[in-house]
Amino acid sequence: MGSQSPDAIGSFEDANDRISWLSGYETEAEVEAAARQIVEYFGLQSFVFGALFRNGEREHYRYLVGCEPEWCFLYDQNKWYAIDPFIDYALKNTSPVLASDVLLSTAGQERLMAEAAKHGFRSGIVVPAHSGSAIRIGILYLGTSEGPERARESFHKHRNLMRAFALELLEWWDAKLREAGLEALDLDELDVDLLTKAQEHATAEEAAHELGVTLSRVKARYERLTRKLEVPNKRSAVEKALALGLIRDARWPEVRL
Amino acid sequence: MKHLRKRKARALLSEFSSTLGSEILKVRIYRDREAFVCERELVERDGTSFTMVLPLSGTEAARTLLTSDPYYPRVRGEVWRVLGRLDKALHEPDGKPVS
Repeated sequence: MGSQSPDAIGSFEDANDRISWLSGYETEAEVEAAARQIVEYFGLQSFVFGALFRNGEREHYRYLVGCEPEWCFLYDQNKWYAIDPFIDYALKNTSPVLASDVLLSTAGQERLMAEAAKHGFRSGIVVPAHSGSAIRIGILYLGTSEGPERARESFHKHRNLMRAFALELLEWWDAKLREAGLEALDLDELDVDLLTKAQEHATAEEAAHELGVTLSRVKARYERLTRKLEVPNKRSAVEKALALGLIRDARWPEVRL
Repeated sequence: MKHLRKRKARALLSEFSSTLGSEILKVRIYRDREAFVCERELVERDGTSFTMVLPLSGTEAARTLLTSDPYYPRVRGEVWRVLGRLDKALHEPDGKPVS
């Protein structure tokens, strides 16, 4: 992926630009290469960006790996996501925090941290990212194999950029998952618009008028949507589309920090 | 208002799914434009899933990754089949996916 790696970042303005460019990247490889440069600018070496998806019944953890893959294998094998103190922190907080400032309360968490230290996360920073949906959050782990003074210095210098970085990663990931979901279900933008209209409680007639398509086409599309989403009705289709990240939850305004 | 169909984003080059006791291990390798990405998903009995997404530079990187997986000894055959399919797909002149 060397050809995709952008030049090294030399200033705050460069870093800010690089973060704002993330939304324009099309592939994980491009994002990972850019993220590595940004993390290096922060004076750190490793990162993992996780998107946590909770729909009440199931939990899904999806991680973009910018560290030794062995660390993620170990984390997965030990099911440490179930006791990860930083996930708990991210669920309840929006501010970046030094990993050393998050209290550990169990022997399992102590072991997790001891192993993390051996895999590029001796010290680090945790950056929560909350999206427009209550069921999906992001968490950015930034780490270094150096001592806590390195993480502390980076934290105080780049805290706000780190927050912007995590939010851009989460938005990019949301868009990517949406794209993959639409492709897997063979849905297009009209389907998304119709689901959004259904979420707004628009009738089929209102949706047809507002979207500039015929009523018969709208009705046929809603039938097709319930079939493809394997749900009994339009309301359930909206709920499932929200759970899959295909549409944004209108109850949660988009927040930009 | 015109509603365009979106373009196909990525092509699945190779994959396997293996039941390991109460868990299911799924590995998928995609070509996404000029890049490759490996998705390695472990699904628990209760439906909880943990997916690692790792960009790859090619077959060698995929081999290094998949053979270092702690589950590798239990899915050795599937891993070599998936790597073989990946290698074949990468050497096909028209770049058609193989699954």
